[in-house]
Amino acid sequence: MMKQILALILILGLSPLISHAQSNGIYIKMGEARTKKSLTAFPPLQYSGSPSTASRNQGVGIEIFNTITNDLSVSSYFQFINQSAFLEDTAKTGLMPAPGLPNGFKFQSWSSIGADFLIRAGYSVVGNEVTLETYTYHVPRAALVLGKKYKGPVSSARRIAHTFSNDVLKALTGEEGPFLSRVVVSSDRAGGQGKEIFVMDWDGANSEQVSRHRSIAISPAWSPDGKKIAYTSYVKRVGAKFRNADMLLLDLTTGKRSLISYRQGINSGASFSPDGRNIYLTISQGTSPDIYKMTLDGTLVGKITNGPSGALNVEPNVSNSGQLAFSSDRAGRPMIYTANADGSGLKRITFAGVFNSSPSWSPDGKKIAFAGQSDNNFDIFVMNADGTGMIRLTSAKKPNGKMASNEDPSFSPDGRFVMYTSNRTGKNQIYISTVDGTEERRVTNDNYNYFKPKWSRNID
Amino acid sequence: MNYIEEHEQQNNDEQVTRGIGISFALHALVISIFTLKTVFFTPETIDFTQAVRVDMVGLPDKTPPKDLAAPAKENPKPALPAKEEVKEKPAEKPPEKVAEKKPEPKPEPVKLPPAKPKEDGVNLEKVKAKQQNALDKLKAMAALEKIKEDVAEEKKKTATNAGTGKSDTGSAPIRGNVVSPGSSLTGIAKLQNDSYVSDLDRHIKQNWTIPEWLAKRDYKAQVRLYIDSRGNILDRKIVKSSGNPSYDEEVIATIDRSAPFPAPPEKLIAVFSVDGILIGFPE
Repeated sequence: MMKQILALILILGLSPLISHAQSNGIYIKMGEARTKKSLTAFPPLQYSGSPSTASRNQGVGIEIFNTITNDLSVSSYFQFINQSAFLEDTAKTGLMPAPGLPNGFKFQSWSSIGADFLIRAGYSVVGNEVTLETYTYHVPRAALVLGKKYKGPVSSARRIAHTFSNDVLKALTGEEGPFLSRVVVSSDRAGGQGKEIFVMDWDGANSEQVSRHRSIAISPAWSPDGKKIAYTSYVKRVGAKFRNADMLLLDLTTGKRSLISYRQGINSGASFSPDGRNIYLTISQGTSPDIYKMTLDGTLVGKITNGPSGALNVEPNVSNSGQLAFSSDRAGRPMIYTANADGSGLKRITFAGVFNSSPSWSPDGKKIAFAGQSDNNFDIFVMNADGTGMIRLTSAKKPNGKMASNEDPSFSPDGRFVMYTSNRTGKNQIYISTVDGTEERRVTNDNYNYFKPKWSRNID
Repeated sequence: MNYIEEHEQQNNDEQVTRGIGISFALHALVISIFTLKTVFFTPETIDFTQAVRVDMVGLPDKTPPKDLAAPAKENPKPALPAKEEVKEKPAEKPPEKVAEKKPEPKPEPVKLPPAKPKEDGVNLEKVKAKQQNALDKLKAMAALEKIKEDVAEEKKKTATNAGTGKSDTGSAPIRGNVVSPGSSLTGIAKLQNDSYVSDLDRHIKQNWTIPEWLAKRDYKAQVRLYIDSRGNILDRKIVKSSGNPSYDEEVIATIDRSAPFPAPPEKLIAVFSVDGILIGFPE
């Protein structure tokens, strides 16, 4: 014991000397590195089932291939090498490297075309079950990064592809990708003047209509587990004379739908608390709208914002740690404010622009995205949770040359992307951007309008 | 009558002349007081800290991340100016992109782009910068003096030191192959060293690239690099690992890609081949 203490004292006494000696040497700081996308070779999937079923199941393979390609391109980590540059006939070489596998591929034929990664995959369909076998190699190191087999019903082919994409990102960065998440959105794609609620995969596939009120259904929100959706619809209750903006809760697993808030006026802008037991929402009750907290059965637990008289307090958004962000015009113009879950610790975050609305927390609670207006259109901005470091993600023109509006941002479950709507094509379509605004992509590609998309977490 | 008028006239003229004289004297006095004051007393610094500047703030422009460091300067308008042209991102990102990403932590970009102060004189920072500049110049001049002395001394010593091939520079002599610990280079050696180190810095930076999936993860690694007289790698080793093998690999690959390095100045070969250079990726 005594010796240890002595040793410790000695080390402590010497440490300044050591650091001093080091500071005398020549020291160069390289600073932040430039980044590059990793060149990736992804040959078409091989069919490993019986040859007689190959042509029948070709579509499944193509769908898996395209889904993976899209996911990995969106991740912004990879750039795919054109297949015409490949030196190997990948239909004939095996999925694994040569010495181990007699007719395997050679790393050399991939390193010589500059590939950083090689993804080899094969699939087979037996009955109604598809099997995907994947090998992801780091070419310069000639090492397997990820080797995994996936199995599932043919109908889940896209899901299998998304799972693989998530696994690739996890293997490289240690963080799961966002590709198993879904989006809930209000859209007019059911036809007519109304808007209904739709749920779809993050990439716009597998769209599913979940409300049929033949009315206007707006502002949907996910429960943290992705099993429930709260939304607002202008419905006429039995016995009521007018349509009122009431809030409904839909359980996606049971299909059960319940009316949870039908106070006179607006019952809108739901956001679930992190434990999924409460909903924050805006209730107007005939006067100026304020933010309330209620349980899932509609019992009010507390009034979170209070005035000042006549001021709007709307669009609450709860972070994963329970912090609240909302939009309020208490200082004249609508601006973004943050507060604790009980409404204490109120802080104004934005001062720029003339109309800042629809705040959305990043999953780690460090950033807030919002739609801000300074001219005649809204654009998407991201800032730190204290309002510093604000950057603009969008700026686009419509075909007629006027500035397009970009609204209603929502963070991806991994926090690397923001989803929003934009009317740059003339229709309100869904777009995503990297959180630093460097890459923007269109998600939906049709002739309908989409409003207030909300990105879920990855759903099992 | 005439005489009296003339006399008065004369009287007036005299008064005017005297008045002008007094006026001149007083002016001269005032001017000399202020001149003397500025010459002999250092002027009080004006405290600007109490000043409140009101800026018109607008939402930021869409800027590529490389420009984030100074949005404030580019955006003096309260309204939103047109977006900068950052259309489709090229597959290969522009080289400066990430190299300059990190300056973010400084407070300036953190402000919403406010109007930049136009007043040059009132900007304390600029004044300070000027002072710093002047100081630097003085230091440089002092350094030159020092070099002259060193050169003179060296000439004297060549007689006694002849044949060793090593020249003494300043108070810290290079003995044998090793720089005595705690010494610092001065004079010409110092200048040569500085310019060589900055060459080296530029040289390696050109090759400092990592894949996007390793970026923004706060990895830090340090390498000690030893090079010979022609700039070839004698040895390079990770002295502080980032904890991520892939990152460490990229760091080593960056060093290897950079070889051969610019040849070190003759006098400093010992430093670079024996002590080596510590290089931080990114710090």
